Amino acid sequence: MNNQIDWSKLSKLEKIKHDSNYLRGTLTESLEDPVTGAIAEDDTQISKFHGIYQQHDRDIEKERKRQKLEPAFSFLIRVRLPGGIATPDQWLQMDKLADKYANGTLKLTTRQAFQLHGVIKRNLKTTIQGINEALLDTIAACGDVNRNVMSHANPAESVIHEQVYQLAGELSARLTPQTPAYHEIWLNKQLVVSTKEEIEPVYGRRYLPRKFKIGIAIPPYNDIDVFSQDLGFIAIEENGRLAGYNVTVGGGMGSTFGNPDTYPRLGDVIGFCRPGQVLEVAEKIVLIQKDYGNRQDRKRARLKYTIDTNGLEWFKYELNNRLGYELSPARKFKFIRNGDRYGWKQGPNGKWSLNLFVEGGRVKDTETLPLKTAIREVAGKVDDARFILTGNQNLIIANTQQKEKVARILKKHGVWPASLSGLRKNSIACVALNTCGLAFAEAERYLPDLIGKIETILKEYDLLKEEIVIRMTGCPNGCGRPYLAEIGLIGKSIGHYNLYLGGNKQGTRLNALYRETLTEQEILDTLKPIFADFALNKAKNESFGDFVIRRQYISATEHGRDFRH
Amino acid sequence: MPGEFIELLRPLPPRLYSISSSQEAVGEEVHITVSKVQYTNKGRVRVGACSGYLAETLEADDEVLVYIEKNKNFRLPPNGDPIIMIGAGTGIAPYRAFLQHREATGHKGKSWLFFGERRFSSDFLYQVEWQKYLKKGFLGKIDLAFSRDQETKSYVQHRLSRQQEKLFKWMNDGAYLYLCGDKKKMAVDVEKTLLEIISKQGGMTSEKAKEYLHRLKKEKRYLTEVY
Ligand SMILES: Cc1cc2nc3c(=O)[nH]c(=O)nc-3n(C[C@H](O)[C@H](O)[C@H](O)COP(=O)(O)OP(=O)(O)OC[C@H]3O[C@@H](n4cnc5c(N)ncnc54)[C@H](O)[C@@H]3O)c2cc1C
Ligand code: SF4
Repeated sequence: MNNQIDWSKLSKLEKIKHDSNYLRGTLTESLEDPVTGAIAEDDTQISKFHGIYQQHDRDIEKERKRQKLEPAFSFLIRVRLPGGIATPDQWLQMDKLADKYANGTLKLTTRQAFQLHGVIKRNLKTTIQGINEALLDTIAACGDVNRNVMSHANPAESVIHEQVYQLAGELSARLTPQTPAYHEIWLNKQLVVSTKEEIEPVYGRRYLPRKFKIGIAIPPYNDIDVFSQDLGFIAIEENGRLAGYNVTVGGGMGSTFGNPDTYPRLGDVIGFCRPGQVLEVAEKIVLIQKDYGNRQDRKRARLKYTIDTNGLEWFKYELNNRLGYELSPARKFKFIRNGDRYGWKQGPNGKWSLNLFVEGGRVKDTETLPLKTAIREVAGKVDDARFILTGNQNLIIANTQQKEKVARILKKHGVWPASLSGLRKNSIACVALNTCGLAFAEAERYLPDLIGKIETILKEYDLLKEEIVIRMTGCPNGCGRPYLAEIGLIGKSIGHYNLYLGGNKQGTRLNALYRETLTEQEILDTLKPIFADFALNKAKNESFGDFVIRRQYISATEHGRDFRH
Repeated sequence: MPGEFIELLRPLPPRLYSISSSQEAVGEEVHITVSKVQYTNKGRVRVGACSGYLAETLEADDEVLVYIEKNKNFRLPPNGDPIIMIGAGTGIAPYRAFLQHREATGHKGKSWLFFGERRFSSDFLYQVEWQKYLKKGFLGKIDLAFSRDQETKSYVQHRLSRQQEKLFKWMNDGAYLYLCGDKKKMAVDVEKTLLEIISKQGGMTSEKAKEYLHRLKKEKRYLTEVY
């Protein structure tokens, strides 16, 4: 097998994966190496499949070099949470681990996962074991595999939420790597595996060419941005019952500056399947991508390029062939919002859910807002609550009958009710500096300030309440799904951003580049006259993203291929 | 008269610093590794006269009066004999010079470094250089003790103790043993541990162990620079 592969043609990572002995690599040795806080270079690729990214503090990089010290390495640990639901015990455990081994904060990601930041090497194993004690894991939270499966977040918003959430778990389980490496390396467990069976029946030795993302939306809400997923399912509810799912394929956000062969792309709806068919459909699509995805150039390896290279018709044919049946025609659906709807809501089961805003997805204590303490108190005292991470980096305290108690605790700490501008409410920022190695500019640490400055302008035009989706990332990789925002900002270099306009609130339209390499002042100066115009000339219920297209500030991006940076 | 007053004062005694570079590698430069002495006296933070001056006051291109005080014994063995280097804190200085020298002259003799400090993240002196020497094979083994990184404090002597079997074998096989750094605490503890190791691994009484170490000293195979 090995000698049939011409490695010279393939991305370097293909060989690393192949030779890793099903994701073991030399991780055990790397963890024991006392001379460095890093792991071996190849292991930094393998560790991703275990949900672990090596990073270093870029703020102090130069200073350490001067001190003849290696960079201050630490690790990001991403905890998989299909559908984003945690129990109070799980929340408390994550809260504790964040204080004990990480930087004292919890990041809620745009894929409904937890992230711990700043865990140093010698605490990695203990931290993973702590996560495991809470019956959580980090397997396949990153890496060239199916990532955390997203699902519509708010149980109070739909009678079929429970079914959809269950499906997220089933999809996740079906597509989780089967290698015992994780248990061996992190949990010291020797799993007995029969040598006769294929270790990775779905993935094989080299796993997928690139990451793979799945999400399930329940219209009219698109909080998981279904069209940004490699594979999306749109739940179709008929007469209060789940009829099945429309299937979307080929979404993806990532792209690279200066490489027009890369672009964000929205998924195409290719048909409808019944609930019982979903797992099979998903697995076949993963297998098509495994067999046909580009393994030479990682920048062109996502499913979206596989589809654009071979054609959507080819893809459907291939899928039908593998399924042995055709998908039914797609059913009608309508999205109205991709943002979260804050506040209390009583679900069809009579229980209460409160959707909270978490700026930048960062659960921490600040002098003015002890958010982390407040949520910890809720988790400690409200035993029937669930903690649901939303696709917009926010948190829902869900499914509780103790509404008053939750309200009292949050009020005491000043967490809720909160008064927020329509812009801030609809903001997303990726991590970026100082830990993300790909970041060209700030995002999470900076967007709150920038929004404050934009708010001043909005106030001038009486637009503070206007809901406008703003998303900022530190690079075009797109972790914060900036290409779908009404105002997208993508870092080019420290203090400079490209400005993209014209996404919509339904998450069904890519934005387009409006201005390049702007400083903060230039961002404000650019937006101001547009807001002035908007205040004056917006049609009733017209959103900002639609407005800028109607008034021809930019023209809508029809297909990802036409997207330019 | 200020001049007369100054003459009445005792001249500041010189301070010694181990050279942490090899001429073979750095030519006309001399590197030293200075730890700034700092303490509180009657509520005021004081710094060491010389180390404080070097660390805080001195600027690039300033001139300092120096002289060389030779330590004839504390040197690399002439041929590539195995070396065991034990040190804590700035005690690492001469070992950096040793390895610079071995790299510059292309000698890959067996070598083993025991180093102790407080914290891995901030106090692993010359970390990237040891990494390089390990990778290139100029440094064979390294054992590290960072005392503040875990609840129970761990020092170099604990690392020695843990490696005692191998360590004793190296000693018996003719390795040179170096000890550098703090005199009051580290050197005392290390020497005590060395004696324990010799006695346990060599099956000797403590008297015999002392003799063994003494013999190494006489053969100039146990060398110290402690202060
Ligand atoms: C052979 C040899 C090699 C050496 N190599 C090195 C080397 O490589 N690197 C290095 O950094 N040093 C080395 N030293 C030590 C160095 O020579 C100096 O002793 C050291 O730098 C302190 O000098 P100083 O002038 O800064 O401090 P000083 O001002 O001389 O203070 C000296 C000591 O007095 C103590 N002290 C004074 N007053 C008080 C008080 N009120 N309360 C508490 N403590 C007090 C301080 O704790 C301090 O330890 C070496 C010494 C020798 C003998
Ligand atoms: S979008 Fe870019 S900068 Fe932001 S977290 Fe993702 S990779 Fe890092």
